[in-house]
Amino acid sequence: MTGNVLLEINDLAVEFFSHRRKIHAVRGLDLTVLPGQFHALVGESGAGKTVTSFTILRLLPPSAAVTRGSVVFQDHNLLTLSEDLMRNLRGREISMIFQEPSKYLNPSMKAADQVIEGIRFHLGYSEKAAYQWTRELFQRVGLDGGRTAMSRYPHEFSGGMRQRLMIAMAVACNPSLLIADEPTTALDVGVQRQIINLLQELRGEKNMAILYVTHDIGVVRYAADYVSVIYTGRIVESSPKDLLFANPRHPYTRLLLESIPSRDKRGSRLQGVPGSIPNPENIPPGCSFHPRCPIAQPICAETLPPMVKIESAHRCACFFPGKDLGLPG
Amino acid sequence: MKPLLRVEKVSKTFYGSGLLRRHPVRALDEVSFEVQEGEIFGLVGESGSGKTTLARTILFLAPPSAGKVYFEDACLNDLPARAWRRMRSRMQIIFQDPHGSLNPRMSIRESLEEGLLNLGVSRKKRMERVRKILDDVGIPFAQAEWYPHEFSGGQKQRIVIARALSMRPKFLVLDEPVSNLDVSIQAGIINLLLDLKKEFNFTYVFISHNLDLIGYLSTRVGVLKAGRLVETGPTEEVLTNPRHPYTRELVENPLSFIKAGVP
Repeated sequence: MTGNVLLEINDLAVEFFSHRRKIHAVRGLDLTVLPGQFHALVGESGAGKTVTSFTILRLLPPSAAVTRGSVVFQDHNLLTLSEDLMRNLRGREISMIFQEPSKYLNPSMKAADQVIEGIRFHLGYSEKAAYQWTRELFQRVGLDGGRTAMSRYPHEFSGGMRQRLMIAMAVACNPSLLIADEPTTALDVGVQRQIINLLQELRGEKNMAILYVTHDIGVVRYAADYVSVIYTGRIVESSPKDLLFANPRHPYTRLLLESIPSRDKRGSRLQGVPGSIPNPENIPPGCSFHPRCPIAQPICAETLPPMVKIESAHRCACFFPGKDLGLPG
Repeated sequence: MKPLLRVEKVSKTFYGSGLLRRHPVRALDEVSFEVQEGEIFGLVGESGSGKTTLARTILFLAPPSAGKVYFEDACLNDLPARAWRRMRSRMQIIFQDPHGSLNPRMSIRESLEEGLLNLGVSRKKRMERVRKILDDVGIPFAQAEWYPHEFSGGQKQRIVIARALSMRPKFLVLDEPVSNLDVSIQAGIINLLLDLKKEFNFTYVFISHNLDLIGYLSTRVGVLKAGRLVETGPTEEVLTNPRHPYTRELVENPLSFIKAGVP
């Protein structure tokens, strides 16, 4: 492994067991995040995005098990790390923000105290120093650093402010990786942009990598350096952003991009992706996308297509990358 | 051309209960617009701008505090109760969350029949209509006895649309009908709504926070901000040449595809 990789996930598989059923949430996922990179993990609901981020932090519920693969972060396999070391790592080296901050904030604890708690635990700051640092963080994320904002409770904040508070908590210990799971999905477009811009600035200042989990192509195109497209627990295409948008190769990626409504498409039908996401208990063999794919051939139902290089860092798992999909128009 | 719906200076004020009573909230402030027959009128605005309140107000699910609403020349403000019953079936509304819109203890068939029962349609005719409507929205009739939880989000939204269709409406208010759905599923529902519109010559008021979607769908657009309609006009004109600073902000947002074009 090279020294220039921050996080490397290899052949990761995660299964959920419930009522004697086995659900394949992640099935052989490979992902590489470089230091300081804005890496977007894009996929639709049920694709395994959130399971992947929870696996990195080892926060999976007891009903889930990692059955294969490794998650290597700064040369440590997180899957075999002791719980003590893991606790030191979470919030310090890798932190996370979520779609609904209110679910992850303590409603009965003042805003500042929630940030101070982490700083004292991880960095061993004195109460006074932690308070001082929190105050700076509040100002940095655009919350008023005065007494009033700091001594408020989460419910007194708007959705955007709560997300800023989560960000303050997440970056308090200068982590080298921030996992952001749909952090702006519940926010208005204007606020969305502010939050993304804030994340971008912090990334630059702290050389922090961001693994941004989302289904929103608009956000991806605006902010990401690098994009990985996930479908039924596997990466089907990954690429530097500009290459991907200029030349999407996997049929799923292409149909997804065709599905986005926009003014340019007025009067023509939206493409959509035929069929629906397969039942995770019963994922089709071979390429799991083949039942929905307009260019599927017999081989697609039999053999799992490997990731192959298209050009430079652009890779795609399809036997017929870029083949004409025969779409109208 | 005669407007199908005319909204005249509609305001809606909410008075909280208890201590909050002293601080009335003006959710809509003298909103006026017209919707022509057969058009798709798009309403955009951020959360809290009054989009849903407006939807509910024009259908008198929450009567306006002031102002008038006309539908096909009839003033809805002073419609007698019996006339309302007939009027209701002509105007339907579809909400964002299909799950919350369906009774979990009723099979799909029962949900679709309910409105028809109310209108006294015979059993045979009801079954015919349910079969036809499910076919229209792309749900197999074989699944008519299924319950809502057995369907996916996209299918549930199709069923909600089917139920609205069962009343043979003329006018539909669609309140963020695809916001909860994935892009690939979204496309199917949007196509369905456009097909149905063509087939039955529906008129839509389409509410969304997604300007790209409104830009794709609507013939005219109204921009709502803090309970006021700050700009209205043909979609193409509003998107190319926004007048109000707020509209400009929406159009120029780099997260949307309006300026940058689709990837």
